[in-house]
Amino acid sequence: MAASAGGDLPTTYDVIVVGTGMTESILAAAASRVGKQVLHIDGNEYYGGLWASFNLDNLIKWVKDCESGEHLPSDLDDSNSDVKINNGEDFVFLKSSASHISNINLKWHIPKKNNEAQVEQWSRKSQTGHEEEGEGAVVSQPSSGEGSHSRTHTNSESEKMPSTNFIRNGNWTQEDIMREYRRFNIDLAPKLLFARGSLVELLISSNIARYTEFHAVTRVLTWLDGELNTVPCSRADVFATRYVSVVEKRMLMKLLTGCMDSENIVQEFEGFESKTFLDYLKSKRLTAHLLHYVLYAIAMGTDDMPCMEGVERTQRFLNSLGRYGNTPFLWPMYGTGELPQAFCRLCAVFGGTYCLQHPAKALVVSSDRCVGVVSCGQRLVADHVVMSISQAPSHYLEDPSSSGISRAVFITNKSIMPAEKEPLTFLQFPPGPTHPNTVTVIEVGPSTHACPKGLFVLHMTCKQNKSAREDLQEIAGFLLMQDDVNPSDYDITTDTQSTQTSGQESSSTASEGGSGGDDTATVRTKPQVLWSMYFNCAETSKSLLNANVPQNLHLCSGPDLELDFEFAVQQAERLFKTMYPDLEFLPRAPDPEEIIIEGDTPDSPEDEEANSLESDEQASSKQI
Amino acid sequence: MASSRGGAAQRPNNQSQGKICQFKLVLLGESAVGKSSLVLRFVKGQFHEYQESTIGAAFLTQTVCLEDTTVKFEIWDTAGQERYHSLAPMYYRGAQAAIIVYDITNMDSFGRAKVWVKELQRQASPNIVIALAGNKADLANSRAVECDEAQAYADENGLLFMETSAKTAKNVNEIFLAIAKKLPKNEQVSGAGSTNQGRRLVESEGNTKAAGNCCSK
Repeated sequence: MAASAGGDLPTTYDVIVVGTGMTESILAAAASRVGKQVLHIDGNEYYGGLWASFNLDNLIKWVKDCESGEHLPSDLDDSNSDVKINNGEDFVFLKSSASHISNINLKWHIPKKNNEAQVEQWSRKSQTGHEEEGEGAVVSQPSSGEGSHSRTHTNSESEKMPSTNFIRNGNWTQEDIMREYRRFNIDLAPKLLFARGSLVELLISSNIARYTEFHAVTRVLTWLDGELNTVPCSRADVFATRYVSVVEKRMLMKLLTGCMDSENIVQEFEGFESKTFLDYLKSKRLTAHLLHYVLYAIAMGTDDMPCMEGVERTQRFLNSLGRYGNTPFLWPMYGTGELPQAFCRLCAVFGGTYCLQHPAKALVVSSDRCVGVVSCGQRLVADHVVMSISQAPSHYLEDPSSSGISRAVFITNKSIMPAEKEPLTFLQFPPGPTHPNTVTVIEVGPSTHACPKGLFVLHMTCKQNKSAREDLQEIAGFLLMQDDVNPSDYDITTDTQSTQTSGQESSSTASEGGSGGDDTATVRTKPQVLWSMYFNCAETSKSLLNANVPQNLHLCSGPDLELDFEFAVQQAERLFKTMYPDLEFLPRAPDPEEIIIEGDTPDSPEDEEANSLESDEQASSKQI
Repeated sequence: MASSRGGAAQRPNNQSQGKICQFKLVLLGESAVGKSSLVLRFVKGQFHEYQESTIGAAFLTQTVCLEDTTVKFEIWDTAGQERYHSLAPMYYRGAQAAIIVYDITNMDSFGRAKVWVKELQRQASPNIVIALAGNKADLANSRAVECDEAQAYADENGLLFMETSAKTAKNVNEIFLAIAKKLPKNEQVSGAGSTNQGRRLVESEGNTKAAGNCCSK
């Protein structure tokens, strides 16, 4: 493989992967792992595409890019004019992923700054000896995007450094938050991992688990009778909870055991094959509370969910219990955007080439084959091309304008249900009369590196009905204060955004009146929203491909609505099998102790590409 | 952020007393400045003039013994992702230490090292210990970066600094040792406010099963 001059990329590969989303990255890793020469490019300057996590500044920049429709390749511009096209070949121009994002609504709910003077330039002191975090940590502000409504680091009335006490009681300013912008990791597509889900199993079996760390979700909540309830997950929980009576506890254990008893499953569910899970639960004469827990929280279902699907989902929940924590779920440290990067690293470790800020402008297509891609004025050729659906031209899809996801992100000043130890919360908000869809709520705190100390990040996701804001604002109002005023007088002011005050009042009185639940010892006031963002993202997991998609072009879906990464993992494995039917999908990578370091070799150092085709045998052979 | 990662840490030689701290250390710097060579010299005591990139090596481990503490380094190499300036932030996530390497015969690589210092100061954890290594010190005849200049830069930025040679082993153990000394050993609660560590997923933990578990996977 000859690299052309000027630092350009080598031009021939086994696989070119365009875009660093989850499925693409898993595929890149899988191909590289079995010795294929992989080029992985992305037009963005960050990893993850629509699956990325951003610090606050980069997130705001992302919003601006989406709104301005930047990165939209128009046609073959100057840089491509030199690209050769052979007889019988055609260019198929690609789209920008930004077209899959719409209805962005970003808002600050706090004043820009206090009266206290702020200083822009902080110099970094020596790294150690400054245990107090934040102190001297911010070295420079990003220079891009001057004039943004959010960048407020222009005031330097005083030389004095403001005190860096990050535990505040609601007096946050935009400046305070933007000063800490790099302590945020905010996910475009937040997802939890079932402890025995296919992604966890894949991370372990492939040894990619060594690259990343996780936190176990500490609690599962549900919304019942206008307030938050902790769902008893484990046997210990069931017996510890004060929400359910002794009789109910027995009932619940019996029901859950029944769902898990594979030997008698046929008899147990006889007659319910065509009924709903709700019908089954009702037949068990569960109390209203229990029925709610099982249907909405454990099975994460809806009233019309078929019985056997409910059983399956209950099993999935229970199977994942007890592996890593008190709940069945895991959350990646630094956010879900780490996961594609972990797969990319494996790809690189096995010789894959990485190139960000390298947009693919067009595919080169010859009859029913994709010859390669055009990127940065180069014609790059491969046996297989893997690409995100979000960049595919409309005529490759049967139904380009299918469904969507509604998303909301809130930065808040505390947890929706404060706890002694920092909580990591999963809440499945059941459908209600005014909101037809289940809403998935994930709340993450500072210890996951989602945000600075003293803050929380709350994610909401549901199927798109109208706009994200219309779909989610009401539920946000149940959980959060969305007004722009000082929290001390929130209860006497009206919500400036909408007419959610009634909902707020009812929920706060409900919780204060209190059923004396486990976590309601302190009077609960809702967290204040400091910053909010709504947006819609296309849901492409069910997109149907047109018959005219070249056979060796493999299109990967964007983030789907499901909670876990099940879909991405399965899609990646399925596509890998079509590319390489006889090769193993992500076999275990060797541990450091097992690596054999290559001895003296006659190759020149420039020849790095040539070495990546080592056999598994060699790579995993024991060191002497 | 720091230290003792469960029972996974292996027992180093003759150091059963005292505590064991495990740290993630990342190498940064331009291609071909000798990052991998430094690691191989430190971990294996080897040097190869034409070192190939180490395929399949996510990271290597080596321990350094201080007076009362054994420091176990988990040393991450870039896997070539830096070549087109596409290193994933995940790479230096949670790193407690970094060695930024340049080639003393190549001024550009020194400039690039400065960019990495900035990047780490912006993106990595605030308490990260950063060392600057002017590698290929055995080629002092063709020196392009003056030692004083690099030292001054390091001082300004609070970095450890040494000129090293993976070839002659000059200052290789020393720079790792200096980092080990500078790392905080008692950071149970890190400055970043994380009271609880993340966990790595390993197979063995999966053996404790939930109540009423039947068919997993």
